[in-house]
Amino acid sequence: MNDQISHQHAKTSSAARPLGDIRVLELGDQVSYAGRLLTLQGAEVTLVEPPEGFASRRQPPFLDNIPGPDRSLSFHYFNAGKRSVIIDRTKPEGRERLRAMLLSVDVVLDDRLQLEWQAGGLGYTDLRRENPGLIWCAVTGYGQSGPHSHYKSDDFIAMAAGGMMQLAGYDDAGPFAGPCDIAVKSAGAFAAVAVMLALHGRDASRKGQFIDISMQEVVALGTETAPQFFDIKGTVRRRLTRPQRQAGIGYYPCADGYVMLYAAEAGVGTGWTRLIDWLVEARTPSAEQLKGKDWLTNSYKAKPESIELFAGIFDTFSKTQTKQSLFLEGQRRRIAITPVNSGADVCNDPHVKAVGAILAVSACGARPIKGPNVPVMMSATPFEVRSNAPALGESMDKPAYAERLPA
Amino acid sequence: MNNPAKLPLEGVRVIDLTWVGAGPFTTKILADFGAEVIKIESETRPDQLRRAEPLKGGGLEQSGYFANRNSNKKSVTLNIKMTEARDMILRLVEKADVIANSFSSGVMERLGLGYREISAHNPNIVYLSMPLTEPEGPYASYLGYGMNISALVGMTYIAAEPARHPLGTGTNYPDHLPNPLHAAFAVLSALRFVKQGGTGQEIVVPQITSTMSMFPESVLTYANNGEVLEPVGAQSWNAAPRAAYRCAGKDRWCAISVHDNAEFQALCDTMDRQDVATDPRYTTAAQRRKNAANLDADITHWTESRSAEDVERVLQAAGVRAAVVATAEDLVARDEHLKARQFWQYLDHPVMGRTIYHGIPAKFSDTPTQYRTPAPLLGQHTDELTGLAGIDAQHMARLKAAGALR
Repeated sequence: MNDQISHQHAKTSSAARPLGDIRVLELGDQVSYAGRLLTLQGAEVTLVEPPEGFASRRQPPFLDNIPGPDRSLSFHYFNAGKRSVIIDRTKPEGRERLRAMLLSVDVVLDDRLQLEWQAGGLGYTDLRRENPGLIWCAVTGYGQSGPHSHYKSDDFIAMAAGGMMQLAGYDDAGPFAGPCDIAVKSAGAFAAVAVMLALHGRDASRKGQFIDISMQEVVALGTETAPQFFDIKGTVRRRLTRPQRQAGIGYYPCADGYVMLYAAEAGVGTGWTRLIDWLVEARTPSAEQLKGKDWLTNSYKAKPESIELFAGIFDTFSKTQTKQSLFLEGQRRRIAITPVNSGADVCNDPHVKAVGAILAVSACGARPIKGPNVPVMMSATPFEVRSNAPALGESMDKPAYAERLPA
Repeated sequence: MNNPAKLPLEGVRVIDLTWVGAGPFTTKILADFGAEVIKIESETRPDQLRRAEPLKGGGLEQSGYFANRNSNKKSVTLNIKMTEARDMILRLVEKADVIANSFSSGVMERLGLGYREISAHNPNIVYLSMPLTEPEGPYASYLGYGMNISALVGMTYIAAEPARHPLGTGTNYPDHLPNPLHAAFAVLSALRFVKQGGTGQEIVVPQITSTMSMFPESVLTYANNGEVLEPVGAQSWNAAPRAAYRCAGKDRWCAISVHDNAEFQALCDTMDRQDVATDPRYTTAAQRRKNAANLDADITHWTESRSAEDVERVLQAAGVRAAVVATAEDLVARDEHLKARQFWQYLDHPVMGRTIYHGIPAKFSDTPTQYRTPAPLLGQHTDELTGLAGIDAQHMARLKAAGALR
């Protein structure tokens, strides 16, 4: 391993920043993940907030569970390194100021339909002539065109409309989508990639462009092979009727929770034979019968009676052990098994501690906010968080973009 | 536009040693936007996905999973365990911009293809690795699929109803979006740095930290407040009611998400239930959350006699967020909106025929997003090695005779 790779909060802030020349405005709080990634590679990202601040400032949990506009833990995490200005778009002077900013930046991250901006003369096509290099990237529920483009959406609705919700849930209840804004953040990450692609195009052509991202379509990318199964086999994939997809793939109970086991051998997967050897060595009752040849095919292991039989055998083995001990011994045997960890488990995990994967990522006053490290290690241009999340409007008095542009 | 728009990554060459999930999706993004991606496989160890369901037939050229991950790429077979083949990789790298792998930590080094060796041949190379974890640390040699990653970093634990088994997303989600997107973003940034006169570099996407970084909520809650975030089903801080509701038909559902009191009134008006609108148990979002079981029963009473499509249509018309919980059939065959946006793409494959590919979830005003070629056959482009690596026919013949091109 190259020992030059440094992590976030490098002691000496590297001058090498691939996006050091790029100024970005975030016009809504549904694109904060895109802004975060751009920030981490050196772009100057400014939140353009309404007078009451973005709604994401009010997202719990708060530091010490005390609400406040600068106490939301997730707001801190996703907005560290950014600036904040307040613009009242309901007032003419606010719109004037915003227009001047839009004309001087490289990238706009937004979460609204262009129709809304065009009504105030601030749409992409209104600005393109005066700022031909502008890249405007908008993430909306259904995209800017098509019969549902005016439909309202949010993370939950996008998970339904894009097909991921259909793939999770309990048999006796409906389809399920959990917390953590999977659709919103996935679309934000795609937006950052799309902006980077448009910047490559602009580096050659000097021309910016408009990027229309649909959350529904981003979620559809997360449906695994469900569309291909329908296209090729005519089958419609739905949520599972059990905690396991097939014998050896799924969630299994243990003494202190669950483990996620992914042991297969045909197609994608590895470790089934090693798993059975483990069960036999541990003298698990009836484990010998899993050595039969039938058990080597996915189709046999996916039968309900196979899933039940295997779960019965595995449970007698796993229920006396902790998820961490199953994890360590299973991995020693080259089996893809992991604990289903809570937040406490993750924070106390020996690997997470050894690599320093949780560290100070922002601060509320003098109090550091701790969270996960940056997602990527880069040896020459490390991902860096260069400042704490901004207090509402704290960058108002800092030099405006236009004044800092070279003549 | 008169002249065909150039793709932003034209002229970028990628040597692609990734396989299975997250890696090939990373390089697919590069290929879809114009990079020449050369997938290195071998007959003895082809990409596992070539055998993955759904399979249209037997052999290695009939997997819908593999095809979907590998549009616009080339395939060259090289047995990289042989010295001759390793030397070919080093030659290929001299004329390439990116080399990508998704092996476990240490594998590339053991093959003599670590960053040190590769960068010695081309200091401007962008070298991407996507191991499960950081290359150092107790779990450096561990293995896991997307579902293992979600479980390990705290995503799965909270994706459940209280006191029931975890659900997660039901998929290998980290492989499909977080990790490939982080990797693609980093590669694109590193390529821009080289264009600006910077050096090449090594990029490591430790897949567990990459996923944790996008979903830090459990960690934030414990690391700062000392509390464990427990599962609360589909409940959310900013919407109540919020659930999937049973509709008419077999296993048909519509998701509804209400953000404020005005939207709640609009929902009740649409259901023609003023008694629900004025029920004191539902006055505020906090009360609606607390009494969700009763409220959900009231809403289901209305939805279960209507089609999911009707529920979506009338609620959206009333300004209430609602969507059919779409199946793959809905998305591929019924969704008029996706059809109008031409999201799905179909490509003619020489063995599989015409099959479906996920499209690109973005429309660019100046960059086309139509795929160009279907997934490559195993070794389809091996003969191009002469040009790609700059070797002559005799050299190719020697490699072939030695068995290095299998």
